[in-house]
Amino acid sequence: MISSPAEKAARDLIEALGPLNLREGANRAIFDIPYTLDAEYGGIRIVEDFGLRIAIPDGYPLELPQVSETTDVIPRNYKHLYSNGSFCLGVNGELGAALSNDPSLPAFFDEFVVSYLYTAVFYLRYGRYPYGDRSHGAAGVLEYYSELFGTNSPQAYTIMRSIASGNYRGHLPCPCGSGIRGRNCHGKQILGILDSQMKKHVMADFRLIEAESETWISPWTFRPSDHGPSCTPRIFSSPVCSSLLARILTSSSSTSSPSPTPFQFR
Amino acid sequence: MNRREVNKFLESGAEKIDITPSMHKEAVKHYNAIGNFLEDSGISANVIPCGSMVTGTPTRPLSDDEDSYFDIDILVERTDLEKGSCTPADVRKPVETLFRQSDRYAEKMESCDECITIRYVLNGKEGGFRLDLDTCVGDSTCTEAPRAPESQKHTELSVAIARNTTSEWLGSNPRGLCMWFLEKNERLAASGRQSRKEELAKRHADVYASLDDVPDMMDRSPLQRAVQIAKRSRDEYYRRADSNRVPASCVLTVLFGILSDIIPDGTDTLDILTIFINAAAREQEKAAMGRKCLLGYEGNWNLENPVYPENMLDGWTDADADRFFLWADDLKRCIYDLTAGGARGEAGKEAIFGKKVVRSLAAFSPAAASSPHHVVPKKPWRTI
Repeated sequence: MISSPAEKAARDLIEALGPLNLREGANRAIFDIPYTLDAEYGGIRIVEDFGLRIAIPDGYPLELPQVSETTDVIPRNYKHLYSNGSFCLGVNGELGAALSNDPSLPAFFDEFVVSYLYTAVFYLRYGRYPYGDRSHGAAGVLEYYSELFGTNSPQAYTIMRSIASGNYRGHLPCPCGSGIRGRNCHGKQILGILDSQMKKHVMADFRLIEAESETWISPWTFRPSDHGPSCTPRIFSSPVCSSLLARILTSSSSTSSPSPTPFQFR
Repeated sequence: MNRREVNKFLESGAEKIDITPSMHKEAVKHYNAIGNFLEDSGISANVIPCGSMVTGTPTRPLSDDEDSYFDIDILVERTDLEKGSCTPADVRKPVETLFRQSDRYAEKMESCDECITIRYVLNGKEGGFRLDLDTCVGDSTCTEAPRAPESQKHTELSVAIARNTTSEWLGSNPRGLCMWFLEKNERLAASGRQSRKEELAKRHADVYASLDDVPDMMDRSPLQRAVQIAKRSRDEYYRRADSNRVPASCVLTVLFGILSDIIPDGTDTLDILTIFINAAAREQEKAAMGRKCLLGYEGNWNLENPVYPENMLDGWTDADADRFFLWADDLKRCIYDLTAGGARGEAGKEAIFGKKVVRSLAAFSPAAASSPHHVVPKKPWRTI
């Protein structure tokens, strides 16, 4: 049986998309649906037929739904697919924030799944991402948080660290390193995250950054101060902080990959 | 839509992006006036149209504005000079100076390395046009014959074009290429020409007093319509792809011209486009196998100009070729989507002609257009 929020999400989805083929999975409900993408962005309309599989975990909306394709419109070597075929819908924190604000599964579908399918088909046809994509891994996470906080990547990192460690104090200088008191700087955003379900996702994203860095730099000696202003120089002065960390923390906030070789449309 | 409806839609779209009879008449009047102006000023020159206006394949440029400009190529061939006894500057500078000093043309002219442009604005929603003047002299020194025997007679039309910033001549044969294409087109154009011109005379009685007034240059065979549609689809595709490595119009015109040899009499626009698309797919397969083909030869992308010794794909990279084949494949999908109809068909129409043209066509269905979901842009991401 599906737990209550997940069951409601399933009912909402059935109401929005019509009869679904329900399959029970371990700790989750799985739906197979035919779906016709009919979407427009920047005046360019794209229509394509898909078969989709949506997995709603019992822990929904705290746990994120997964979506994959049962048709083969998107080739398996498409950059933004996980190895199990599920879609890379976005940074966990971004998905979590959306579900935290509105746990409706149809709304989530309209926002993230439609956008994902549109961008995938657009890429397959025209060889570019219509509104960009994110770097894989920690770099992409920091791109998202940089956009969210309106900062550069090192500042976003220190804000995330402050949230993850729980040591934010409004009367102290903002963790972004601006020198302004937190309450007059990023305080409102930070408290909004600390008081919501999004905190869990920010912490998970922060752990991902740390884990990825440790994979490459062991031990990761870089430990920026809580109050950030000195973090950038320290990153670059650290002898062990070589390519990966430098790349992650210096990546611009909304970089898109250069237009790669387009896939052959089948 | 059934195939007849698809064909009708394609032809309607092509007509929408075509130069109008009144604009064509204005353009003829203006380039004739330029010839008279030069002659009155002591410069002997043949002022002759070439390019898509002559091949009957002009397409309105993609633009969000109502007043997008047609670019009309005009050769200003100096008959008072010979290539062997003058420099490119001798050919071009006096013409440019005359325009600059003229009350009539000074305001309308611009000069760049390639050509002198005279811009005309028309009233109403027809937009305007630009006459791109290539100053040149006849080039009898071009003796290297093109490979196709039937094209050799066009060699005498070769010219040497004067550029602004170089003392080198640019050899070319734009008039010969037009003649070559029109000869290829003739078999497919002749049978329906009379009825098409009658239709034009009837629909544009304000421009043509009688059937005799309708110039052949305004007639459009299914082959010419197919070239127009391909050019427009190319423009829309490369705009969407945000790529400026667009295959040149003359390349498409030559490809269709070559394919015309295998197009049966009476073939309609839709089938000609299909023949082109299928040929592109075959070329891609052959190129992938390293075999000699129209678009690729021994590792270099190659399309021989049928009337001049040059490779029309000079500078093409493998990426350019990949993109070209992707576009041809996308055009195939779009045509398939037209037959599917509904939202898919509407999206296909827009991918071929652009949204503005589709909205302006009678076949446009507001219900189908209003349904797409407006995407909230979210960037895909994954863990490493």
